[in-house]
Amino acid sequence: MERVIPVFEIIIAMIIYSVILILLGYMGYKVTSKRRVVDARGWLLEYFLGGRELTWLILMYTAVATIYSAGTFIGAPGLAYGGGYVWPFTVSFQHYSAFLMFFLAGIRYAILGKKLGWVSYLDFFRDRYESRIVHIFGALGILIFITAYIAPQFVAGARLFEAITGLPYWQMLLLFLLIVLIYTWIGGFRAVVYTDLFQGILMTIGAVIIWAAIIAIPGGFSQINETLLKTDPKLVTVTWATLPTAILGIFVFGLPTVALPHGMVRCMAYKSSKDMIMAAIISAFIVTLFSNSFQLWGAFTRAVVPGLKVADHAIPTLIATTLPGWVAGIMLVAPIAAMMSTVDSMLLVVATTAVKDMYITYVNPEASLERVKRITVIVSIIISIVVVFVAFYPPPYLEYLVMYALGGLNAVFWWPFIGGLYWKRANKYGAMASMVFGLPFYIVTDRFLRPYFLMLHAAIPTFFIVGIVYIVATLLTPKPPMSIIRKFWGK
Amino acid sequence: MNEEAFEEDERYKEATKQAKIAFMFWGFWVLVTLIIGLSMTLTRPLGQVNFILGFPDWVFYSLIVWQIVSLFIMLIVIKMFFKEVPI
Repeated sequence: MERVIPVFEIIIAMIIYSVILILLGYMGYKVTSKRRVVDARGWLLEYFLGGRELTWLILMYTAVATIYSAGTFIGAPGLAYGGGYVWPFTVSFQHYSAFLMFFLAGIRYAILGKKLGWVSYLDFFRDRYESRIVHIFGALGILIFITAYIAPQFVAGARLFEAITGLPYWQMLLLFLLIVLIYTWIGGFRAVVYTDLFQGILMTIGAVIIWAAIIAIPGGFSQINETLLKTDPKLVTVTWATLPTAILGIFVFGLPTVALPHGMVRCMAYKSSKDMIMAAIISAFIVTLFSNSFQLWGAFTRAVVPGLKVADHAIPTLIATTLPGWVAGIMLVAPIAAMMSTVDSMLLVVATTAVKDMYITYVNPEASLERVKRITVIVSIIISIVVVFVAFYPPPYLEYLVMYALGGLNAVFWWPFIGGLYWKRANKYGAMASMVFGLPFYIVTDRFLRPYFLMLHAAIPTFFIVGIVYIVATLLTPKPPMSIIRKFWGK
Repeated sequence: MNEEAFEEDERYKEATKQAKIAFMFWGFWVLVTLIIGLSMTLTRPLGQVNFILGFPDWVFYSLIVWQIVSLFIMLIVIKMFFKEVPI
């Protein structure tokens, strides 16, 4: 098939898109600064959590855009390209992830957050466990792993863009970095949420358009499937060999992701339980649409554009090949949008931890409004410098940090979060034990122990064994203080 | 040890109930997806695949039909069992 990359249209689309993002960032700034704020705590609430005002549509899109990143739109379809339909199957276990996140955190998390004045993800852990070790361990986890995770996303996006469009890598990288850093820091949580809404709507429309384009491919689906069958019959089915792949989705894309900081903070930022429930319901529909679409397309592309050297190019190539010029230009921005919408939330999470969890908690608890604002500016500059530096001069061990970032944080946070929220017996020793054990266990399992676990993805044994450690360590140690129980279960 | 009873916030009962139901629904959905997908693939010899509307049949029934059906089950469950709770 003739592959004519509409470079001019893509450049125009990128420019328009960037301008819109900056404007939305400015809008976030204006709305935030209009809110009357009397002290540092009030300002933190507005800047880092948007004042707990999210309504259902914006709540839904920000949760979905934040949780699902380039992995869903580029990486996993790339796996489908290589491995066939088993990947859409396993990735489908993420359809209800946002739904599950909303309900597992639930109204309880939001009620407690409002009552106890939480702004940061770690505030829950601080108040539930009242342990310096738990708090600092969590903070370090966030500061190290999430910061490490951010820069490579930009790098991957810029590389992808260059591979597909020929546009120069350094310039694209700098452009993406500048746009996201500018709108995120200027507008805070609201900027992130407004841009998520914009990007989410864009992707929803795009998904429909791309389906239309695919259905219009000459030969249609039967041609595609015949080609796949001929290429390799294993592509169109699940075999005993690919069974571990078929089920890893439950524990890699489904269950654990619900406790990640950048997603979870949204669960204390909404206006009412009705908004939460609506957002949860609609998210299931939207994610089913997105996820199924992109994964299936990845599998199809193996027949439409065989012989791609880099599987990650599957979706962008499909878009460039099957959509007319202008539409392709706009849609190629979509994976970049997915990446940005995850990374901007991560930037805020890192900043929240640095400012609130570290500075205010341990350095200057009585900090004034002006001081907190100034510290936030300094912190955002430092984070920006680190991210830009890491993007252009990645340290050699970076890929390990990234590889273990999300799985490692899952291993650290999932049980202490769910256990702390619902189990009265949960205490700080259980949290400490499972956190300190979970992270190294995940890494060691991934590198050395998988053969002992039937070659399952490390996330699977980690989930169960860390759970056992959490429960056992809790039961072997004293009950938590009554004051905590009263705080978390009382009126 | 200070074991005085205290009044629990009743809103938490509804919240916890919702969490339980959501989790059970999720588990049920995962199970059915697995059953549909795996029973129609692992039991068949390689190369024997039927296609429905352009998708392998197991993909069609698990990722499309069951997904859509589960979405409606979700709607019904929420409509019937979930209440609004003031935050």
